[in-house]
Amino acid sequence: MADKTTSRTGSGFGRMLIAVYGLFALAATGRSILQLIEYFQPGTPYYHQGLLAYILSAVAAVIYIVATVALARGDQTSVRVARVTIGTEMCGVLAVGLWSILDKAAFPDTTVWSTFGAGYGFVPLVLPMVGLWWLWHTAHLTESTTEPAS
Amino acid sequence: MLAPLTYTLVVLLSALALYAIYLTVRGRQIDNPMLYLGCAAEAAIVIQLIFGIATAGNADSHMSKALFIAYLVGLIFVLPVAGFWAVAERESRWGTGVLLVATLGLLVMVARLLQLWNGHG
Repeated sequence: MADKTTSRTGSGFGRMLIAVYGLFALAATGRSILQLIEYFQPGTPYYHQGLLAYILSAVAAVIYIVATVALARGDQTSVRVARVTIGTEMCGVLAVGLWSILDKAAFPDTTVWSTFGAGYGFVPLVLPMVGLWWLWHTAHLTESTTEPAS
Repeated sequence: MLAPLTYTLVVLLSALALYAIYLTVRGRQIDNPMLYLGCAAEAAIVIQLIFGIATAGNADSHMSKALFIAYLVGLIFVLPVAGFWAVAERESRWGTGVLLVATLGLLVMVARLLQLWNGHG
């Protein structure tokens, strides 16, 4: 299990990157749980209009958790999973960021990705870029050093 | 929430963050001063948890007590988990980089804690 290729994405700089992902998994999950608790309380003022933001918060939380685990595992399948989740994360930040600016009414309560993650120091915007770069970088390393042919 | 305790915590975390930046930039591993600083910060977090729960009633009436205590409990786990995660990365600078990330995260969480306490949840 723990040969060189399995830990490629999880060692060196990747270890710090995973720490950031873990932190955001925690933050997004916390926010999502809080919003869901609020949502299911009777008499919530934004019972209808808040639903979209709450769903997006939950989706973001799941994406951060999956990306954290996939990067930490780092085997072939996990790298593929990480590529898809971090790619989705990139699209999500851009789409939700733009959407939340164009249609403020749709987001009475914020998500991690609202206004491109401004509430989190724009880290949510930069994080998937770094993540994708890191996946590309480690794949490149693996190809040139260990992979004979496929 | 006791103000001197919170200031102590913020000072300890800031010192830890600055030291982590220094070690990461120099490409050094976790050393004894960092360990002691980390332990001091963790001790302050535990004391904060106890005082926080004991005095939660004195906070702004808009504060959600459950959320406040969830933050206090969450704070406790960050440094041990980060330390565990960082220890496996001893060949490079990124072990201390992990602790830097964790410490910055903690500072943000303490800031949120203060906001909650003052009713800006």
